[in-house]
Amino acid sequence: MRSSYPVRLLKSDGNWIDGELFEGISETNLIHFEQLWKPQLDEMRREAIERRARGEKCYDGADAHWNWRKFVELTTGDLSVRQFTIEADGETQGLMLVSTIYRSRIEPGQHLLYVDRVAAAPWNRKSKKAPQRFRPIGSLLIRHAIGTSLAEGFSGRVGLHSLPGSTGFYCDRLAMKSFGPDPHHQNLEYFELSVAQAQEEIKKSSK
Amino acid sequence: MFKTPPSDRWLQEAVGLEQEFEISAGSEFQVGTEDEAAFQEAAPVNPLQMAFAILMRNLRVDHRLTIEQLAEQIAVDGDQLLLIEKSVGFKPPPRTLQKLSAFYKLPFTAVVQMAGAVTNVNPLLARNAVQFAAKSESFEQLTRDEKKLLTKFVQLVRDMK
Repeated sequence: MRSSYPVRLLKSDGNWIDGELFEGISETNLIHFEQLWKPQLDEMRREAIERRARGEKCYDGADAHWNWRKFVELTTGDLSVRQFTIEADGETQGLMLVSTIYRSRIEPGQHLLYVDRVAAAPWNRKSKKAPQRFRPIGSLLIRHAIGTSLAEGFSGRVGLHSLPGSTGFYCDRLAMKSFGPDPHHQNLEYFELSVAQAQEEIKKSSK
Repeated sequence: MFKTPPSDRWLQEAVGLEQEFEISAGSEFQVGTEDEAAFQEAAPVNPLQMAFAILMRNLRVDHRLTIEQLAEQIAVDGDQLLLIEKSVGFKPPPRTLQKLSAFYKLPFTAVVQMAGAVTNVNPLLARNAVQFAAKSESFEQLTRDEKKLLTKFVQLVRDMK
């Protein structure tokens, strides 16, 4: 049985519902990804390319090519990788993979929790077409990554490569330290959360 | 496992933030990598647009160009060229169609019809395009028969000026 804890989510109709944050990505989660997420992500990706062709700045669906089944197959049994899922309303609302083998750039030599992948279901992302069905998803997963770093003994240190449309959250909201574009990782901007920031974040976010 | 639920106050703040910020991390879609193969097509298939996708793919192969090289030569986003070839139903902007038509010396009117940019399609073009699509496949290299078929179809399209 997967470990979990309850999380509350705001539905688009204004009511709060109970969801759950699980350790592990199940076969059901993968089926939800393939049958529910993927067609919408492909459509988002197609529209983003068309908008970019018109000169607009749009990064929607930048993760449309991610194959979560492959990620799970490759990482199940790897003790350095942990998988997390948010479920609500009978569907998978968010997915995350984290790795424990990386080291900090802020404090060289110290372990950190590296967020390898994190994504919200396409219907939970901000869009001009429809209100987000459930919020928050990404924030809960990133908070969980910080908590996992604390639980692993990494003092809350978290590192990640942000997709282009998400840098604002890491930079403006979490004030993570930016190390700029990483030439070894598709030139995506690398961010790191310090021990002090992590502890403050968990303190102010917990009951 | 860390199991501390967030406070209601934090949740309210996070709910507001997610209206403003996208939150994701990982790796971005890259043209010319295995991402190409992972990007699946989900649109309904139109035979004329399928012929257009095959024509664009086979002409590029015949010119011995990768998607990135063609993108550079005609100054068009590589992602668009990838979708033109692999995502039947994708409608490229007219500017891209103009560049492709000029590069491959194909009449612009025929190119826009095949790409699905206009609804009024020449029946002769439609019939021949569908036959071309039925007989062609997208290989890394064109066989002699495919090259012959491609040349014949390109000539027919060029004659439609």
